[in-house]
Order: sequence, then C-alpha cells, then structure tokens
Amino acid sequence: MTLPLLGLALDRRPPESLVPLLVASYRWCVPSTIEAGAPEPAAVMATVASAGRVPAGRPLALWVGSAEEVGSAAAGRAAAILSDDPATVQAAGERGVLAPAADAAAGRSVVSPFVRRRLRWARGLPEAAVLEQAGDGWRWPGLAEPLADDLVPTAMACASAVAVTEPGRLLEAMAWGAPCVSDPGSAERVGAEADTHLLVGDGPGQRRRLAEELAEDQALASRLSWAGRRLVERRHDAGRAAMRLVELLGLRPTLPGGAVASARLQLGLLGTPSDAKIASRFAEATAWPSMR
Amino acid sequence: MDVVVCGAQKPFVRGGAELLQENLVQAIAAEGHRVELVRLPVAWEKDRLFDSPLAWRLVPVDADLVIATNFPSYFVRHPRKVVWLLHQHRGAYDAADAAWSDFGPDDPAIEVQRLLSEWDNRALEEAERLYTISGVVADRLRDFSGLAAKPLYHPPPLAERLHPGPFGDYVFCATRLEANKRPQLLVDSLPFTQSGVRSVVAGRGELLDDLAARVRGQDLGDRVELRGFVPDEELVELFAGALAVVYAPSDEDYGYVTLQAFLAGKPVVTATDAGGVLEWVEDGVTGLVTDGSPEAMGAAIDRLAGDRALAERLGAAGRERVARLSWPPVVRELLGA
Repeated sequence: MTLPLLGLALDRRPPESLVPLLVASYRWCVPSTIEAGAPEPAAVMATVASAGRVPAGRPLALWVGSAEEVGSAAAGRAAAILSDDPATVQAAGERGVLAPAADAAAGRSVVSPFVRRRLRWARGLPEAAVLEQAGDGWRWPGLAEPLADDLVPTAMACASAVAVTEPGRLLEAMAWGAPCVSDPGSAERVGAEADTHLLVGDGPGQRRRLAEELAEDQALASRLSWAGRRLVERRHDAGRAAMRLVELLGLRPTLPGGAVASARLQLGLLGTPSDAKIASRFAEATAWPSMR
Repeated sequence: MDVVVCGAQKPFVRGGAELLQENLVQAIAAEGHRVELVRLPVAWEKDRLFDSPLAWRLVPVDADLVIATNFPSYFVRHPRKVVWLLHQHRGAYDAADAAWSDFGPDDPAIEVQRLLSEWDNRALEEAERLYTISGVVADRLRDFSGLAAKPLYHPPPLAERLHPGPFGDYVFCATRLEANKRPQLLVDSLPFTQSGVRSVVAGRGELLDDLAARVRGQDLGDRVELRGFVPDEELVELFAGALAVVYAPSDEDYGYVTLQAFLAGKPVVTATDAGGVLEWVEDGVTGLVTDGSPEAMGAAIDRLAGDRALAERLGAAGRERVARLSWPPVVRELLGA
C-alpha cells in the first residue's frame, strides 16, 4: 500500500492533545515537512498560526484552540477542523474531528446486555448482577471481599449494569458495552449525557438503586449499552478519529489486493477479532489456491 | 427513482419473506419507479453465519436507494440505505433457546452471538431510516439491539382477491407445516370439541407426516383434511367458506394468515404466545385468544361453532381492522416520498 504524505505545519511541536490522533493517523498516511525541496504532501495539518505557510490547493486539517478560531479565515479553507474541545468540534459541524486523549475502545469488545445474560447463565452466575465501584474497591454480588483488580474487566464484560464513579473506569465500562450508572461530574468529564449514554445518580445509594433497576430493564440497558459504546468510539477512540480525518482530507488510500483488502477493512470496521471464525474462513477462501 | 430491494436467499426455501420481497417490488414498480430484487444466498448455521453478511459488505449495488429486508441483506453498503426489517437471525437472538437453534451455552456460540450483535448494530445503524414489519419485530430490535424502529404494516398476499363468504362447517388453517407454526395445535384440539366441527389444513412442510400420524392416532380421519399444497384460487375459497381460522404459531413476526382471515371476514383463534398475530387478534373483538392448550383451543372453536352470530361479528371487526392496509403508503414511506 502506498501511503500519501501528510505535511505537518504545527509550529515547533504538536499540541499535546493532538499526539494520539497524529500517531493513529500514521496508519493511513506518512508525516512529512512542508519545507521547500521536500516532496509535495497530499494534504497538510497546521495550526491557525502556521496556516499561512501552507501552500494553496492542498487539503488542510486545521488545529484550533477555541470555538472563535472556527470562524477564522484559515478555518474557512480547511477540509477538517481538529480540536480537543467537544464544543469547538460541534461548532465546526461536519468538518469537525475530536482529538481523543486515549484509545479507550482498543482491546475491548462490546458485549450487549443479551449476550451478558447468556454469559452469566453459561457460567452459573446470578441472573442479574450489578458491579459497583465502592470506597474499598469493586463489589460483585455474593462476594464478601472486593474483586481483585485483574478480574474487573471480566466483571465489566458480563455485569448486568455497572455503577462507576471514576471517569477513566467509566470509559472502560462503556467500551465493554456495560449499561452504566455514574455521578454527574464523571459523566460530564467523558461527554456522556444522562438518559442518552448512561444513568446519573447523586449518591452511592441512588446509583446502586438505578443500577439494580437498569439490570432488570433489557430495553433501556440495550439502548444505553450501544449508545455508551458509540460515545467511546466517537470521542475517545483515536483510531476511528484518524479514519474520519483521512476521509475528510481525501487521503483514503488505495488498498492493494482490491476486494481482499476491502474485505479485511470491513471485517475490522465491524469489530471482528482476529481469531474469529469468519476471519479464518476469509483467510482460507483468499489463500493461494492449490495448483492442479 | 432506481430502487434495489435486497433480500436473503435460502435455496429451496420459499415463504413469507420471499412473497413480501416480490410484492414490494411490484408495488414500487406500480408507483412508477425502476426496481430490481437482489438476493444473495445465506447459511444460518453459526459456523458459516458471517459469510453472507461479509459478501453483502462487498457487492456493488448501484441505485438511488436500497431497501434491505431480512438478515443479512441489511449488511449492504449504500449511502441511501433504508431497512424494512422482517427479522434478524432469530436463532441467535429471541429463539436462541428453541430446539432448532444451534446456539448453546458454550463459549464459541456465545462469542458468535456477541459478534453478530455487534455486526448487526453497526449495519443497522447505517440506515437512513429504520422500519420493521410489525410491532413485535420492533420490540425485539429495541430489546436485543437497543435500536428504535417504526413498524410499517403492509397487506398480505392475495389481499385483492380474498373475500367474505358463508360461515361453513370447518375451521381452516393455512400455513407451512413447520415447528414454529405449530399446526399440531389445531389437530390436537379437535378431540376436545363437542360440536363435531371439521378442520381443513392447507400447506406443505416437514411436519406433514407427523400431522398425519396424529390424525390417525386420535382417530380424526373423518374430521381433519390435510390438503397439502393448494392453488391460490382454491385457497381464497377455503378462507371464504370457513367458520373461523385457527392460527397459533410461536412468536410470529407478522403472520399473513391472520390478515388473510380478516380480509375473508373470519375470526381467528390463536394463543397468547403467538407474537405478531396478537397485534391484530383482540380477544372477543376480532377473534379468540387462548392459552394455547388443546382444551382451550377446542373450547374456543366450540364457542364459535355454537354461536355463528359471534363468529360473524368478530370476523366483520377483523375485516374492518385491515381495510385500510395497502401498498402505496408503504412504498411512499420507504422511499421517503
């Protein structure tokens, strides 16, 4: 695959919060300078201050620090507007790309409430099970002691609902597709809206009660599970943000192998793990044929 | 407008899905659009379950708009994709515990269910608009996938030809003879009737031998007629001459038979777990809803046999309920016109 060049005009060093997106973008394009004599880039990423140095006619991704800069002349010619501020991205409309601080979705497969119930049933676990982040650790029904740390991801992947109060762990639970209950501050920190992505309660008692109710309401749990996962992908997944950026800049690479590469990409976009049966069936179907 | 209707093809199987797709194509053409039906083969068992969805992701479908219907045709990629969902892969979701499903409580099966639910959500979420054929299917989509859809009801096959007729001396059942349709409920209920009413069963399927054995075993040879395949003209007249229609499938998606019975002015005897049938059959209003036991079904049949005025009243109410079903509003909604 021949990757297009992405020229960087980001002053001396890129803004800290742009780094995960920049790193994720390297899967799709190769960074380069825009200095005289350097190869012509297919597109350029710049700050407002450095946008003047960008040659005309090149698709521009502009890093902006505030919503006001969305109205600047440089932003007017940008194909993509990057920011780490959700409100600024929203102001940029269809051209906006949020630069996530981390890859919260990476390595975490979404597990729907229906599948969670099947998992609990298969393992003889309680029909409804709320995982709760308490003062002394993570609490699981029927256990006297808090869960060991290394068991928390497993519990997040099979709980009926999760009551969680730490923004990082809230993102982790939502990435697993857990129907979540959290506090107003944590929800705001991750950009989650009450009743759209999760339920919000003020104190531990209220959060526990909401989580228990959520565990019994499959329709609501399913809606919050998927909405929470999609929030993580849209706002906290550098890989998907990079793909959106590449698309806006028109840098979508031509994949070698045609349909085979397209199929591989589709398998990835649909969330297929590399050890899934369909991955091996696909590999088998596209392997070098036996010669007769 | 150029429209492509997408559907799954299970070779050598033909049922309600195929009829719906063909009738939809005709209805779109009748509105003045160019329309084609595109089908790809599907395998239902879990080891090959994702082959066809992946194929749908890759095939080029050139049209102004595509309408995807059943699993896995909604995996088609198109900037203007509308989904009118007949059903997801029921064996992996609501019918996972049914005897015919190959999804057990083992880790590989659960991982297939997990991955399928993720694939389904991603593909269905791409739709410009999301409809279902019934409230039951919309409820399943809400409960299993967390997605909202609007039920969009359509007329059954033969809608233009079905008509009321005299209330005869038989109850009628027209269905594929398969496990989820439960045709044996009618046969098993007859020994519990006092009225001596006859029954006629039309349709083919894997349960034919089992049904015939039940008829022989219960000495019902003079009261049950297993007609097998029946041409459309004969089917219309069988509906028209019946006392009532007995139709009690297990959690049906929609249930054409109910609507066909109503168009013929006949009440429907059904069961509380019949799914989409219950969106139409209201107990004591358009039919009789039983607990599905042979005793209760037999009692309901007797009630109608002994009170023909009741049968006529319920049948007329059913006919009134389906009177406004037609294809043009369905087509306009699907095309966003």
